[in-house]
Amino acid sequence: MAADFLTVHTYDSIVVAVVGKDRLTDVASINALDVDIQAQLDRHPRISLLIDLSQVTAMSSQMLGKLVAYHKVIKKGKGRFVVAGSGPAIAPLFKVTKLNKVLDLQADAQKVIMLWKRKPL
Amino acid sequence: MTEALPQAFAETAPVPQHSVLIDRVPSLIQVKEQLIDRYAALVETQGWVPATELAWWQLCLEELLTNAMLHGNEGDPDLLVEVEFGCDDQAWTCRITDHGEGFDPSAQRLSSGDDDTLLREHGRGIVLVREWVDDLRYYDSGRTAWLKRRIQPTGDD
Repeated sequence: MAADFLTVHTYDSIVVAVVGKDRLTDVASINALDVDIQAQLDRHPRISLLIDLSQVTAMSSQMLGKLVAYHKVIKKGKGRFVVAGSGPAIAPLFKVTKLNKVLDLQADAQKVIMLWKRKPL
Repeated sequence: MTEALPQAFAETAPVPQHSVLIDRVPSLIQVKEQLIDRYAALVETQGWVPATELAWWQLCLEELLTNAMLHGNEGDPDLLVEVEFGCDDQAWTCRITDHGEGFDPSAQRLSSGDDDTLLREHGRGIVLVREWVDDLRYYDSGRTAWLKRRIQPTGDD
């Protein structure tokens, strides 16, 4: 099942996935998002993936686990992965779980996309 | 000398001074959101948690209910999860019990901070819950999670 709340923009191997939902806590939504992201990972072996969480105000540990899984797959494929726009409601989750030390968290999605466009893989 | 049993292997969680709600629900993950909304209304009525902290409260319930339904009871709708909210003058408590095989909560720690541990895809739920509550304990070989948090002024008085 595809995630109807996820908007995916693709520029060559730069993939920007914008989550248009405030709560990423229910299993069905997380699994639907995962199906769509996995499809992008399969399509682009050396991907530059940005997930924009600027509309998200609540997120479960299951979603954090998915982000970790994407990080590992993309790192293995020598791609780039950024989680952008995590606001004050969800930023503490990354800090508490120490994922701020391993994931590339950026405030401004557009800045990252511009940088990636200037420096393609 | 007799050694104290580790918490996870002690039999029963503390009994609340005032039991406010006892619920027995099937392990249907799709009803979890409705349950949390119902419990949120209770918490609001009781004035246990200020509005600014309701998101953390919801997250803790999400994590513990998911663990009980999906990991404990393995999503078997015939297996119930028991939820009890209680309080005394200073704190509220929540007990969530499943009927699974239990687990060792000490194995869920992320304290070492090395990359291998940090990059595990599971085990962060308990870390998140511990961050917000005053006390989180496990009983009955990990089948019962019991949390406690002091009642916060809501600012409505």
